[in-house]
Amino acid sequence: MPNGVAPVIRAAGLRKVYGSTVAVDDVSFEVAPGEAFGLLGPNGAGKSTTMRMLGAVSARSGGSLEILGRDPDRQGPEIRAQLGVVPQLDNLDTELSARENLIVYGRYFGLPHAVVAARADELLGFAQLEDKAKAAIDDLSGGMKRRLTIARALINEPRILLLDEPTTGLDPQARHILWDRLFRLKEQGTTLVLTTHYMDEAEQLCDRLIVVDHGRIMAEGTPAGLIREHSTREVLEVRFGSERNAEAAVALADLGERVEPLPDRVLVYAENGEHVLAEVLRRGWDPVTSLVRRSSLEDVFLRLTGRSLIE
Amino acid sequence: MTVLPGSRSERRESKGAPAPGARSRRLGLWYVLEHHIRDLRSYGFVTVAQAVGTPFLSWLAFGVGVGALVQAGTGGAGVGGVPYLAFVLPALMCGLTLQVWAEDAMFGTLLGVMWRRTFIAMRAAPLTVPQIAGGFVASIALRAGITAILYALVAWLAGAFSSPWAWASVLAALLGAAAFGLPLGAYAARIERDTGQFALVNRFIVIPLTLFSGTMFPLEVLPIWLQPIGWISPLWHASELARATAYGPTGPGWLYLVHVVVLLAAIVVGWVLVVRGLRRRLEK
Repeated sequence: MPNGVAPVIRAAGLRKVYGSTVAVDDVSFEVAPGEAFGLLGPNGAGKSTTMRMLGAVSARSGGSLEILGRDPDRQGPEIRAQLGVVPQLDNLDTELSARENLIVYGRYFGLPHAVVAARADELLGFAQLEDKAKAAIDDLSGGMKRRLTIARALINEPRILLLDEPTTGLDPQARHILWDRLFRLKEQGTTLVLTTHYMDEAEQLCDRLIVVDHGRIMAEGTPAGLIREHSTREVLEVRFGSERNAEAAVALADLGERVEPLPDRVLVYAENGEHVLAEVLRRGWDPVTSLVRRSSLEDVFLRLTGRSLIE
Repeated sequence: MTVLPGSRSERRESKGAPAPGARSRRLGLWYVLEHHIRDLRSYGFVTVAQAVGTPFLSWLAFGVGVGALVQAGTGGAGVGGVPYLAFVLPALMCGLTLQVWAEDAMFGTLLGVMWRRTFIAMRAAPLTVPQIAGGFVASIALRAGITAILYALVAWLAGAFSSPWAWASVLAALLGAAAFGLPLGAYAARIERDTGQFALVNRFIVIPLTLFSGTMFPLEVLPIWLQPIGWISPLWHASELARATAYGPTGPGWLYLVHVVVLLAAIVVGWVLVVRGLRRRLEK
């Protein structure tokens, strides 16, 4: 957090309990204005529950939470008036056209008709949907619906944009178009808070993130910092067939800083993957496939939890 | 109120500008209604066709068909001192209004919280649950009200509504529809998975209500052990009020007061349950 800059979000010991299930447990973090902050974790980690509390729609069970200097449990409408929310599941009104969806949503914020009409046209341009203004929602592709949902979330010129799994279910091209739009928002200084279980998305978009699992924070930092701290520079992925992977992992255990046997492959963590691969071949282990890549947040998550992000 | 020092909120609020969302706090219900009115345009033709077509069919069926039979069977005296058509149309108007409300309450609620999730979108904006519920209920009242008004006009043309107070029968129909539809909406808000519950509600609650609420014949015609169904039925209370306003009261004044009180009580309880159900659904 830059010195002297008051955070727009301040969570301390945040907790959410449903009956006997603890969905969010002792989560603490701060988000600075203009920052792109991520919550990375697998499905069921407590990311969406945290987002609902940040969105001032779900009361916390414990801890303290301050959004834009206000308490969401007591000043929900005042906070929500300054937020933009992109939910995990689209909730556009399929009875209305794309443009009408923006207009009715803008009205919720008390904006006059002329203002929402002008902003709707501007945002359709931002979302690259000008030619779909009159289109029915059911006629839009998945990527177009997500872009329209983001445009809708911007209708009130929010100070914080909350995005819950913004690209889940989209094809690679649609994801890249969406990332491009989010980059532009970031450049304009909009504070972004997003959840994702895609490590590449977290690496691309987030200045800083927390890795969450079972409702708890496992690590916090910048994507590069987390990788540096919890993994090696490179990773060698070798596949020997499901029958031999475990045996190979034992035989190659001394080759890297760490060897991780997975059901379908063996991961060898090392500073120089090519050197390790040469040694693997020299020892007579002939992999079906091999790949040297740089470490990613997926590796950080695997290191911290012993599990993969996408299961 | 906690506001960050030097923040935009503080600068704005220190200048005396309204707090963020102040306008939505005042007018949120209207914004929700505005949204639903846009949606209603899709159903405009169906609403008008149903509201005008149904009484015409009833006019033919109960004025010329069954009505002629009843008139002949009662030696021309009709039912309750009026021709059968005049007896039956106010209650049928209440029945149709109730059906429209029930349909919108059931499906509209599930559309909002489960199928289209538009209520969840509204909740992410600076709207409160009572505003979301209020705008939704107002939109149902609007469609049900249009149905009742058009029905009453056709009934008036048919000569079934003779009292100068006949216009108030529309209010009676709306009271009955709300008294039944609000608790039904509250029930819908609690449904987590649609497994055809509404078909059961229609078959085992809505249709029996129509049959045992003194709609086609006076409740007193039923054996005493079946009459309690009518007593607890909002449709019976509404139909009795609608008849009294359409062609004049046929019972003691206190009984009509009881009808109003029962319907208002059901509406108040229904409203509380709707807000509670939606709150549970939208704030989890």
